[in-house]
Amino acid sequence: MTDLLLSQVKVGGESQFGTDEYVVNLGPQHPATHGVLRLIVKLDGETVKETVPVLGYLHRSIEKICENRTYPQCITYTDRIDYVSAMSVNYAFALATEKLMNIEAPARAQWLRMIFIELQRLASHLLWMGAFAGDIGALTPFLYGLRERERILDLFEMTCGQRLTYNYIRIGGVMIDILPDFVSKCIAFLDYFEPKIDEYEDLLTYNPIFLERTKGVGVISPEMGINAGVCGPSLRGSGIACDVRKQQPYLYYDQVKFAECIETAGDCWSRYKVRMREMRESVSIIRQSLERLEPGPIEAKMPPVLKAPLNSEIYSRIESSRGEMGVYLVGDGTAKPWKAKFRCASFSNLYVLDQLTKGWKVADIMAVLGSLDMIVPEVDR
Amino acid sequence: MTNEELKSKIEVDFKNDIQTVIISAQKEAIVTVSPEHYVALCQKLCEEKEYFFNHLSSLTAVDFPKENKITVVSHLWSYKHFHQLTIKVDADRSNPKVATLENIWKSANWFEREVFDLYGVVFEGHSDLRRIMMPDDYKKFPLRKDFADDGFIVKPS
Repeated sequence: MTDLLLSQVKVGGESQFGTDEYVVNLGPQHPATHGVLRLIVKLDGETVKETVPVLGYLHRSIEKICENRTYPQCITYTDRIDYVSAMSVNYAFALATEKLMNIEAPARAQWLRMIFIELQRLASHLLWMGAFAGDIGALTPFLYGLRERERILDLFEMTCGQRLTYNYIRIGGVMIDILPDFVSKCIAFLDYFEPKIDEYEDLLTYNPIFLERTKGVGVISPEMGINAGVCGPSLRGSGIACDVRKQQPYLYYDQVKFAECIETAGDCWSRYKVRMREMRESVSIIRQSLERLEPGPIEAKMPPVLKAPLNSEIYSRIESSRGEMGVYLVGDGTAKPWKAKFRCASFSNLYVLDQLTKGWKVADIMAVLGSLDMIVPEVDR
Repeated sequence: MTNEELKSKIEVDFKNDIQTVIISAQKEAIVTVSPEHYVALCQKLCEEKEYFFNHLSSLTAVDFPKENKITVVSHLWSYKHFHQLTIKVDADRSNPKVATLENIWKSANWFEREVFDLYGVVFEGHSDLRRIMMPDDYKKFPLRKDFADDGFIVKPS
C-alpha cells in the first residue's frame, strides 16, 4: 500500500526541520470531502507539500450511458451529475438539445425555468454555506442553512413531487405547470428568507475565528485562475467578471436587473462573500421573474420523436450554482446523441487545489476545498 | 466579434495554418486544423489581442470509427471579447497522438488526462499523462464506440 502511495506522489526536497515526510490519505471516506474524493497529501510536519486528488470513485460514465439513451431519457441522468443543483444541469442539457433541434420554449416555461434555477441556486448556496462553515469547525450555520433549504425543497416538492432529483425542466418546456398558490408561497418564502441572509452574515462574515481561518488563505490570483480554468463564484472572488448569465445570456437573464458579484482579494473569504451576495441577487431575480410570469403554454410543439440533424453539434454554456456548466452534443441523425460531454465547474475548480494548498497547514485544505464549492459526482460524472 | 466576423478574420489571418473554418448550422464558428499547426494556432488565438481566447472552456474527443479517426475538440472563450470558437484536430484512430495544450492553458491538463483515459488519445508533451477516472491498471478505453462493455451497459430495448 505504501509503495502504491509513494509511486503516485513525487517525492523531492529536503525537510528544513529534520522531520520525516509523511503521506496521509484524506478520504475517500471523509466528511469534509463532500462525497468520495481521495486526496493524497504529502506533509512536512503539519505543512502541506503536495496534494494529489485521486478521482473516479463516483465515476458512473454518464456520458457513455447518454450515448445509449434518447435525448428525453438523458435528462434523468443529468439530475445525478450535480444532485445539489439538479435544476441547473437539467436546463443545461435541455438548452443544448433545444439549440441542436431548433426548438423554442414558450415564454411561461422560460420564466418558470428561471424561477426554479434561481431557487436552486439559493438551495445550493445554503447547503454550501453550511458545509463550508462546518468544514472549518462552525457547526451552527449548517443547521441554519438546512432550515431554509427545506422550505425551498418544499416548493420544489409541491411542483414536481421530488426533493432532490427533479427531472422537472424538460426539452421544450417544463414538466408541469405550477400550482395556483405557488406564487404566493414563493413570495412568502422570499420575504421570510431575505432577513435570514443578514442573520447568516451576522453569524459568520466578521466572526474573528472565521476570518482567521479564511482571510488570506488559498489565494487564487486572476491570471492563475483564468489559466487554470477556475470558473463561477470561485473566479469572481478573484476579481474576474465571468458570469455566463451576463456574458452569453440565456433564458431571459438579459431582461432582469441583477448585479454580477465580484470581490477582488481571491482568498476563501472573498469566495464566501461572492456567494452570500449572489443569494441576494437570486432573490431579486426570482421576484422580477414572478412579476413577469403570465399565463400561457408550458411546452413547445415538438415532433413525437426528437432527432438531431446529421453531423450537427452544439456547445452551450450556462451558469450553474457552482460555475460554468457546458454541454457538448454531437447529433448523428438518430434519436440518440452520438456524443454527450458535460463540462462541469467542480472538475476544473478542483484542479487548482494543489497550488492553493501548497505551504499551508493540513487543516487549511478543508477551508480551501470548502470554499471551492466542489461536489464529487460532478467531478467524476 | 460575432461568429461571422470571427470566421472571416480567421480566414484571412491564418490562411496557411488552418484546413477549414465554417459557421455550423447552429451558428457556431468551427476551425479544423492539421496536427502540425494545432499548438501554434492555439498559441496565437490565446495571445493575440483581437482574439484573446484566454479561457479553455472544454476539451474533449469524439470517436468516428467509420472514418477511422478520433477528433479532439476544444472550445475557447474570451472573457474580454465574449466570443466563442471551436477547434478540431483529427487523430488516427489506431494510434491517436495529438500535441498537448497544457503549456497554453493549464486547465488542459485534466481535460487531456480525461480524454487519454476514456479515448486513449496520447497527448505528446503532457506533464502527467495518467488515467484519471478509471483504475490505473485498466486496459480499455470506455468512450470508444467499439468498447466491449462486458455486460455492464444494459441497452434499452
